[in-house]
Amino acid sequence: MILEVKNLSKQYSCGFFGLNKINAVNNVSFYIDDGEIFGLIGESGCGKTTITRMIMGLLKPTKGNIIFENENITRLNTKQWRPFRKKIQIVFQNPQMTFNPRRNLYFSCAEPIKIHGLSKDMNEKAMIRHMIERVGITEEQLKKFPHEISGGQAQRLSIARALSLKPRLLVCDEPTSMLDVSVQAHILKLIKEANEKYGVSMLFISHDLEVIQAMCSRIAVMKNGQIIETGYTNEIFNNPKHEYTKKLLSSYIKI
Amino acid sequence: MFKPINRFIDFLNRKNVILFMGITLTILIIIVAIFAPYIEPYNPTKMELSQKFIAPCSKYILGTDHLGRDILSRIIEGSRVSLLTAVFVVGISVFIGLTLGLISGYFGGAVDMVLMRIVDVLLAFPTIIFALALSTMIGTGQINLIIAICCIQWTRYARVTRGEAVMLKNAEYIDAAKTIGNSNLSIILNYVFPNVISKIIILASLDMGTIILYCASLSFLGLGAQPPSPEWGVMINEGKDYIQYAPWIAVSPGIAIAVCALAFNMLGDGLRDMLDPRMKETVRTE
Amino acid sequence: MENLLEVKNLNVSFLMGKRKIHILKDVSFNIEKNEVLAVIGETGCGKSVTGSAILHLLPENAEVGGSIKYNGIDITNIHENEFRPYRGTEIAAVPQSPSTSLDPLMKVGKQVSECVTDKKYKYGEHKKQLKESIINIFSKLKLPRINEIYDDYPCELSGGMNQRILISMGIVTKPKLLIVDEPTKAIDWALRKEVIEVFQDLKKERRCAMLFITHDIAAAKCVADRIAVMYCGQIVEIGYTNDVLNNPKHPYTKGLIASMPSRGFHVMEGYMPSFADLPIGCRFEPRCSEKTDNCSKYEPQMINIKNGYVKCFRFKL
Repeated sequence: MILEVKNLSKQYSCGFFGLNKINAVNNVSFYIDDGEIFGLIGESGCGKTTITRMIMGLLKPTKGNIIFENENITRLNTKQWRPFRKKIQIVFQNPQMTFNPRRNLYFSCAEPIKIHGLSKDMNEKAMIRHMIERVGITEEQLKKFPHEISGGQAQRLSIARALSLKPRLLVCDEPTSMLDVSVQAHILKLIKEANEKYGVSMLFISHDLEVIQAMCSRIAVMKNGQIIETGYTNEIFNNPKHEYTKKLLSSYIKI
Repeated sequence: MFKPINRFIDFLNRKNVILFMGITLTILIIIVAIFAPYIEPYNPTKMELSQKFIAPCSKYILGTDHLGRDILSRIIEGSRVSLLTAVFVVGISVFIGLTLGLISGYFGGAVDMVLMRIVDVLLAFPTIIFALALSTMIGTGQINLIIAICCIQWTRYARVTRGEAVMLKNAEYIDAAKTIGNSNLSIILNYVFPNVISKIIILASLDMGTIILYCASLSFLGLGAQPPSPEWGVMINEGKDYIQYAPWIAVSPGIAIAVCALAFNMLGDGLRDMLDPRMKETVRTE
Repeated sequence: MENLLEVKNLNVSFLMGKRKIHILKDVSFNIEKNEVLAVIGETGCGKSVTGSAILHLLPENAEVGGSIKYNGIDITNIHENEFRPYRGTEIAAVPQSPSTSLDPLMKVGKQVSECVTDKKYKYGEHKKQLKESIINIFSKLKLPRINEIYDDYPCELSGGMNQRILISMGIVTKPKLLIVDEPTKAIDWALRKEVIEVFQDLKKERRCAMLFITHDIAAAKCVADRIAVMYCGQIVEIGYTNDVLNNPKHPYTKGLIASMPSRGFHVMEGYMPSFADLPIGCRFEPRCSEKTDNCSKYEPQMINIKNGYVKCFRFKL
């Protein structure tokens, strides 16, 4: 077990004096085994992204615990998080918004290497060359700015950047929802490869059932901030138990 | 018939002539200020009562004042005072405003609340009134004038910076930067600051003109620089009594102020068009 | 059957500074009455430009060649005033994103009724009639609370509901041809299903012809009678939906279908070339896995098949 999420809740206060409480995530528990791809599906606004933000330490949960490799990472400050940044990485939904718009892509790619001091025995340029080669990006393209490359290229680069830290867990937050089918295939291949070759465990979030079915071994179905059903992908796809899951699966159009 | 005019307007837009003119004028003013002692035809403070109230002529290009001092020399000398004051005011207020704005916008919370309420209160004072009040408290003089204007001016930069920082804080690439392991300081320096600075530069260059105007008006009112000093506002004040029969004494420094303010406004406008065309709506000169 | 829309050798180019950039090259297709033609392809392949060209919505620096015939009348380069009568009543459009295509400060019912330009509907009896007919359309599109929704603002409705408002704007004038641009883009699966169902019903009940522009192959499959596959400003293959999807003939179509996750997401090597720098021969040649010597030298010609054509040297009847 690489990651365990226990009774996680996030409550937002709004309205007059914060008296209105909204449960974005409500008592969610799941675990991810070593080397597996765990899928999280649900409609937009059901709290999927809130969960990823809490796992990444970008948001403090109201209740519950997140345990990564037997260490509780729920309430760490920025400094305490530092060593875990190397082990948990994320790929965001909107690839062009992932990089610093004012700096060229080389700067963004060199950033993790500089921060974590990875270039001790190898020089930085060689490391970056090695890292972008895997995803089919040339050094020429690194001189450009984020808005000058296509969405597919940006997403491949952000995967390369995440993998350059050799993480144990990769969180993929709707990595292909903004991309075309043909570009999507390339991204999915890279993610799958990272899982099979390097044994990176994954939390894969998507609303696209087709992608989820192709990628994940186990899935959880979310609705209104709660997990309503979880199990092996094949079981849920062939034999859904919850009404909502059945409804969700009926939107799957086979070709 | 309108073709040449249209073409001319086209040319102005395309080549950003405003920026070009702004830069040229600004550089010219700066050169004049730096080399003032070498350019001045006469000693700007030397009085020659036999030469008073001479209208502009070939010897005294802009004439002389009621004490027989050469006005051109005084205007050239005065450019140093005005420019130096404006640079100090803008520099200090940008530094304070940017730092506090970044902290307040990026971290939010209680710090943000307190700082922004202070800014609100200060913004409620008209600059001139506040400066008048402060000067009566701490006394007149150029340095006190700088302090007084800075007290109000920094809030403008703090506001703009804070607004930008709050907007950027929620951007996806800031999240991405955090997950890579950046510390808060390096996010502020590498991500937030570069995205804010272009707006601040534009605002600052637009403000230069405004501040030259403020200084002149406060000096005219008797605060800031004191009479023997060839400050433009002081000169207008001295000349106002004789405006009926020696208008050049008051008018020449007035034109100098206008040209200076115009130069910096053109520079700011041009920079804005170049750096960020979208800002046309959001930042305006006062 | 009779052709409602006939597009022949449509060429569109944009003037960028002094350079002409050719976007569409020899695009030909026809839409019969009551028929739905889907145009599928990657982002930036020229799908939306095709729709805009038919609707006369291209920017001023565009140049249109070839011919677009609607009901046998050439409408390619006619003046805006002559084209106006076609808008709405004959050809209508459903624009791309509901979040940006609706006026946020106008009630949705008002926005839909605005589409009816006939003056008599502005007052009295006819106005009431119009409102009834719009509510009728809303109920057909299965919008909830149909009586109140007329007076709601777009921000009060969900994305899928706004999408249906856009559709009702397109069909309120009962057009004979509907041009739909990416209706399923960036919405999640539950909504997508609803939207697809709306179009299926439209096709069945209203029997209006559609040009269905999308990159969503599954949606195209559900709605379209025929599919045109577009690559880099050219239609590379066009034919019956089942033929194209189950028995693709052009290598690009094959690649596109194989890249779907349920088909094992096989990657097509390379990228679509930029329009400023197109290959001389077949535009797909640099990425093609089945290329021959001819491919890089000459452009492939149309080879007619049942109800369509293929543009590829390798294809033999």
